[in-house]
Amino acid sequence: MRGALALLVDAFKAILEGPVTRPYPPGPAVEEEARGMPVVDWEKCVGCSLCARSCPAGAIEMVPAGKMRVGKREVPVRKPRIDYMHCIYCGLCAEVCPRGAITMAKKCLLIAGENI
Amino acid sequence: MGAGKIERIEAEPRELPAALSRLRGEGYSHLITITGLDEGDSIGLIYHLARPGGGVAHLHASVAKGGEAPSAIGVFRGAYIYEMEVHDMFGLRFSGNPHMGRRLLLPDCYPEDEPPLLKDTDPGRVREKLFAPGTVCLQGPPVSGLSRYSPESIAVPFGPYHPAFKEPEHFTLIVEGERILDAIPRIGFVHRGVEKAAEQRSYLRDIFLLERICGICSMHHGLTFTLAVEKLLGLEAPERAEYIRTLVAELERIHSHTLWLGLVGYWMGFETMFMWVLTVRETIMDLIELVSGNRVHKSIVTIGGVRRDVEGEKLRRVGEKIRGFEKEFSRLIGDILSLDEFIERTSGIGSYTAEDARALSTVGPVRRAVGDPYDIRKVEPYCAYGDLDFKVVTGDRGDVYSLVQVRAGEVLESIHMVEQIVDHMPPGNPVPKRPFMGVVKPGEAYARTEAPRGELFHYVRSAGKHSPDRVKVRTPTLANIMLAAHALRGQTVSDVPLVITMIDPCFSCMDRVLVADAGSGRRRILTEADFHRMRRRW
Ligand code: SF4
Ligand code: SF4
Repeated sequence: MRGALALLVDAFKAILEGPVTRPYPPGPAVEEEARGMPVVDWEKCVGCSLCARSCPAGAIEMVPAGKMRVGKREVPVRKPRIDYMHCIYCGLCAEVCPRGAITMAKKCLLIAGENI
Repeated sequence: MGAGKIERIEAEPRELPAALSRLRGEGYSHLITITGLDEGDSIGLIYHLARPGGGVAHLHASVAKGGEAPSAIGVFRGAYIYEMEVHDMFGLRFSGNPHMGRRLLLPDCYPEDEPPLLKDTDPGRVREKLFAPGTVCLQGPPVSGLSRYSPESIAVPFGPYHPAFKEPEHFTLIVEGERILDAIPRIGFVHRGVEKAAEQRSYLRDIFLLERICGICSMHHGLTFTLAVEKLLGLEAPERAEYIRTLVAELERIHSHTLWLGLVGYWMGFETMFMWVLTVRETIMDLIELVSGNRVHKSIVTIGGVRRDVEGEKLRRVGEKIRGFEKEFSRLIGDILSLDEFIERTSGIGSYTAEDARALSTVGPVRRAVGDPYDIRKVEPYCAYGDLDFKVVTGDRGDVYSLVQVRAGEVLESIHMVEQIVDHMPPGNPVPKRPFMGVVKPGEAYARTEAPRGELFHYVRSAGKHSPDRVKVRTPTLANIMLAAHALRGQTVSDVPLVITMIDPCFSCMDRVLVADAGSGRRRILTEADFHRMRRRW
């Protein structure tokens, strides 16, 4: 507990310290330490669907993505598509992917579908 | 350790009260919760009892499905809430519990013969029955028997959606003029069936699911679950991981307590204080983002370690920022606690005694404010708490003012813990090579942690599969809500938000499993909101 004098000192300090409100930073604020958002690189993906099975939010759907060569045969392959409205941005898909096909990009999603 | 495998003490159902009172005589005076289990033909009941000085006993009995067990309310007053939960979720009755005639958690229209946590309950069938023509869940009748309070008394409904509440909850206040004679909480408006959902996901996915029980103490849910699973696996996280977990846990406590402090200002009409506290708190939110990558859901704990390391430069920044925060916070709390208006507005508001707190199984700062040093970090040290030097902050009386003092003291202790962690971070790699995706061998374990609001309890049972067989969560707010209702008696209506805020309630945490009705069971209210909620879920 403090006396009235201390309060007075604080009040003077506050006058000298200048405003406590700061202008909002221009542009989207993405901290460098933020986890970011998952972005899939279909070129690297082999369609193992491990990401879809481990996604906590069930935000990954495996969609048909043409055919892939396995040995001599061509087989249909499915690749992940992320629903950013369901995604919780945990980064687990990027962690489990054996091919490093998913990276956590340091950007944020402003409006659905606009800047992905 | 704050976690352990469970060694059951077996009992016959009819011997339960005797066995419980014997254990109580041996010092197990705190009923943590009652876990219900679907054991095929029967329902298993596990009574988790704790000694205030450390040690947990687990009393088990099997009761035939749809059968009856004797109630424990004669031994533990707070048991009735947990019995009602088992009644709702497993369809078991407890003879001697006066609240068996009504629903606690589920809406009245929920089909009687489909207890939701039984393994063979089919959501599709439940949905069909719920939407059969003629099924309507309507608001209950008004309170009867008011005259037994006083001839002048009336019932004032408060909530579920009220400008003075952050979350949906309902209180029926029996008032005489401005004075509150009785308060009956009714919660459950944000029940999400997380325990059932956890049975259908893998252990790894469950961590993220359980974190979403609460947006404030999210890390503690993930941590407590992980500690229990690690016990089942016989796995120990590397020392460095334990330190990082403790670091995030303490940052979480600071942010939770400062948020609460701001809200106290807000509910007492002191909005400048709210703004000020939240500005200071921003440093901690930045630190949490720096360490975990996210401000709210930290998602840093994983089975066998943590998901990100906090190495050299980052650690240095944590140390630097936390020292800056300490300065700002000390000045802030010094100024607040020297304001006469603040002291007068909070002293003696919502007062309660140590006996009330103990009898109602109160946990966390609310219990410590009356001088009872019950803190899981000391009672059953987990993570790095055994190595850290900190003291348990206690107060000398239960009211809003003393809770401000206790929580402010805890923030300062947490700051010191963070400094110690920064200085003594052990070397090594805290991140497991691969996320855990295997099966867990059959068994059962529990874990307890000291979340910002108090003792948090998780029970995990495995049947040797990829997903748990049963997860049971008991959150601190559930244990504390009875005290809030008790403390409301004798207060004025204008103090309601302040008194309810006193326990730092987190209704969505509590609602995940349970609707507590601390009243005498005269009635229940089921609003249209319940109905819509059920419709969405099923
Ligand atoms: S970041 Fe998490 S929630 Fe989002 S797609 Fe990846 S695993 Fe799923
Ligand atoms: S885990 Fe990687 S390789 Fe497998 S489907 Fe997902 S993105 Fe493709």
